[in-house]
Amino acid sequence: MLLFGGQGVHAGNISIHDARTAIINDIVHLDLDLDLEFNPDVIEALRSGIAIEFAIDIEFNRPRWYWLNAEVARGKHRFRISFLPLSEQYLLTNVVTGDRQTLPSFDDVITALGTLRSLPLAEVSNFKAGRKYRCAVQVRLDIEALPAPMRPLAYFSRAWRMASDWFEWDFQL
Amino acid sequence: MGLSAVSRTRPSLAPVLLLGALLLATLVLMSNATGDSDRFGALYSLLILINAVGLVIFLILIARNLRNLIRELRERAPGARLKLRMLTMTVGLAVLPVVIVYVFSVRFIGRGIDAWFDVRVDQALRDSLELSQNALELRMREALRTMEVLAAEQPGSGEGGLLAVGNSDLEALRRRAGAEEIALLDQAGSLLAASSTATEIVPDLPARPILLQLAQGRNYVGLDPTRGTDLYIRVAVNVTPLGVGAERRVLHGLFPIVSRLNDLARNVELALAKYTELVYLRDKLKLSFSMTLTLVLLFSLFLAIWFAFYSAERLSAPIRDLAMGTRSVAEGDYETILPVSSHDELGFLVSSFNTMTRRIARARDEVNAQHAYVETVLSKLSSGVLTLDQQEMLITANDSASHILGVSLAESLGRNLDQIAAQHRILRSFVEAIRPQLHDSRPDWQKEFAIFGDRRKVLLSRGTRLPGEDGQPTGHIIVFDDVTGLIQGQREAAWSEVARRLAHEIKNPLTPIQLSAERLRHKYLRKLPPDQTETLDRLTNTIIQQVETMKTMVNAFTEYARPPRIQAQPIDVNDLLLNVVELYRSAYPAVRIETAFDPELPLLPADGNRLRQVLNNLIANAIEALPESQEAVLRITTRHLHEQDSAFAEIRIEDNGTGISADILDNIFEPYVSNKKRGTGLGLAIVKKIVEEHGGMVNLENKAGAGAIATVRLPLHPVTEMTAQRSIA
Ligand SMILES: Nc1ncnc2c1ncn2[C@@H]1O[C@H](COP(=O)(O)OP(=O)(O)O)[C@@H](O)[C@H]1O
Ligand SMILES: [Mg+2]
Repeated sequence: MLLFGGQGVHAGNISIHDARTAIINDIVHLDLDLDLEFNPDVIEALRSGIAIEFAIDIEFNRPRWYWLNAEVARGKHRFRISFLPLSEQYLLTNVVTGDRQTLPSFDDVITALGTLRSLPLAEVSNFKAGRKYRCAVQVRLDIEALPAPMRPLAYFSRAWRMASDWFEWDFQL
Repeated sequence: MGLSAVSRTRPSLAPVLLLGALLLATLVLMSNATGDSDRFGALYSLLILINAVGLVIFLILIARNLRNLIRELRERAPGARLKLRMLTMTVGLAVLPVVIVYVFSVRFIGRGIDAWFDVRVDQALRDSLELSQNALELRMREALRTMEVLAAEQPGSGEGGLLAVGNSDLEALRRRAGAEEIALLDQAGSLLAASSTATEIVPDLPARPILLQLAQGRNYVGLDPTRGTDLYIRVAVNVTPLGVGAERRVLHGLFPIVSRLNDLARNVELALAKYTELVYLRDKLKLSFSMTLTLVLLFSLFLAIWFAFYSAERLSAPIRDLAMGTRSVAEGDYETILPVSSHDELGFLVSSFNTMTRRIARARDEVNAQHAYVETVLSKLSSGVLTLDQQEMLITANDSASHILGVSLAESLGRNLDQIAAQHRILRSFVEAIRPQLHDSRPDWQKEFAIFGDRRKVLLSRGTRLPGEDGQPTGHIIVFDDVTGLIQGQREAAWSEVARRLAHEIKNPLTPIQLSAERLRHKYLRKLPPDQTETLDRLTNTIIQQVETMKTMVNAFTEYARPPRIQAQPIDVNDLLLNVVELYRSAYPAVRIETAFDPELPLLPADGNRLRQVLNNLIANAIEALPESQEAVLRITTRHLHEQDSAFAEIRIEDNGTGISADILDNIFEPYVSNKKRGTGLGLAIVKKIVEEHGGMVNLENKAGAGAIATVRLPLHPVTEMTAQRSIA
């Protein structure tokens, strides 16, 4: 059993390639380009019927020179990957919106998850026109969503500790 | 009496019990969370964290206790080893069964979880999945063929190609194929036309990967679970355009599956999914259960160890107190009172100890009181009392001892006799006198001896051994009295008796001898021839003179031996002196007698005749001591003296004679001490006797230059009966 993600096995990794905001129908949407690398352990668990969830956290901050930054809005998205043994397909579910997508191969899963488009974030009314905001986003594998018996090990395993750095950019209406 | 109580810090039970309860609760929740992950699943990691922190706190508590114990052991603190023994016993009792239960539980859990899985069940599930897949495959292939046929027919190609295809054409196709939904798309996946049994306006379109596959020229067929609960067969086929340069189209169809087959396939899929998940989680579950169990084990162990420390501390605390209390009692501190904390046998022991120390303290107080009492008695005793230990070290000495010996013995306590003798030369004779008695085999002894200090003292000393606890002697006690005065008195009394007898026996025949000698002389002086008359005359004269001398001597004896009966009346000492001095002036014209009388001198209660005798004797002695060659001067003075609360009349008689010779200086006032050829040695003895009868003092000493000085002090208050009585003795 793999405890701490041995030297030979490459660790799981997520990095945010690019993130953009777009406004559709007065709602700020997020486009996200990710580079995902999965450890074989994770794929094996997935194919064994373990659902894997990715959490996307987004924060809008207003920088303040005189004090800590003020948080303006915060968004959350959550994607679940599960394996369907009957059709031998993968199911990608957006937990927040309920959108589901069947994908014939794991590569398709990586592609689908790597190009997330139009994730609704916040209403335009939260922001003042002309003001500069700081946006930050992070994607991570949610260990707490795994079955309880897996969690303690997952916390100590490099295979399961998949989390991107915070990706920041400026945002202006 | 201030009683000091032993303070004690006791480990607090409540916080540890609270912590224990918390850990127990989290462990219960954890065991639930491991089993079914829905109820407490979300808390699982938090529970583990709380547990780990709790256990670390427990570990710190135990480590602290252990450190204390090690320190106590190293310092050899009382009760530490007992604590260790109790600790090892309790821990041993608790740890072994818990560990055994743990080992077996872990094995049982492993076996139990393994028992969930069966190869045959596994195979059956996979087979049924394959069966379902095969059944569905059949349907899928059917659907694909239908769609390929439709696509080959080039829908709408008759009237203006694919571009002209309308929803109504597709409706006909859909009915022919038996599909639920059919749509025509361009090669980018945009909808051109659609037909559906469902009321939904937006048709379900294939995802990007499917379009990609089609672009590669491969048709797609697959199961789609995304539409509600039912499975659908999704088919997408390329429609190859006929005309040159015409675009490729995609025909997309969704086919429903027979409801029964749908249900069965889904059930099989669900069961297999659950089963494979379980298989995958098998080791993790085992580990998880083992971890929970390990946490339980550690919790039980730590709790047991901590309780072992706690109870060992509680048990050993009174014992340690007792040990310390006993030690302080042994060191002589009887003020220790131990806290009585329990009502068991230990509590009884502690309270017994307290009673014991109280009793001892009371007994010690009594001893101290008795000691003080004995000390007071000793200090008021006129006899000197010394105690020595076996090494002849001076242990105690009372005030009278110092007084009699004439040295302060307080500084000599703790020294032995040799050191004391070396320190005080006066005590050398004392030490020499008692030393042999200390080594004597007889337990009691008595000895009279003289010591020589400022004056000669005769001591009567008695001694005995001090008995020890086992009868062995532990030292000596020596009691002594200054009996100089007593001996003096006895001697004086003896001399008085001798004098009285002498006077009586000798005085009587003297008168007849004298008369006989005078008659001899009268009768034969004329009858004898002249050559013999002269001889007779000389002989009888000698007899008469010698008898006269003897008479004076006998009178002096009588005077000395006379019973003391003074008739006191107010007397002017100056007058009396003047009378006496006049007599001597006429008798000894060669001697110059100077007088200086104090006119303030009051009348003195005294016996005039006796006082005259005193003055006669003193002046006679002075004149007898005067040298014949030089100018003889006699100086007589009187003074009125006030000392403290008493008043005296002082008479001083100074001469410039030979002075008192050293060999008789010490006992010049004793009878028969004389260095004169015809002296009786009674003069000063009588003087002393008379002066003392008047309650006064007389002193005779040599002057610095030449000659002697006699000083008489007589009290001006009436002579009391007491002093008169004492003078008799
Ligand atoms: N003033 C004095 N000067 C010198 N010696 C004295 C004087 N008074 C007394 N003595 C000495 O004391 C001795 C005792 O005196 P006392 O008792 O009067 O006896 P006595 O005169 O018969 O010898 C004398 O023998 C003499 O040596
Ligand atoms: Mg004389």
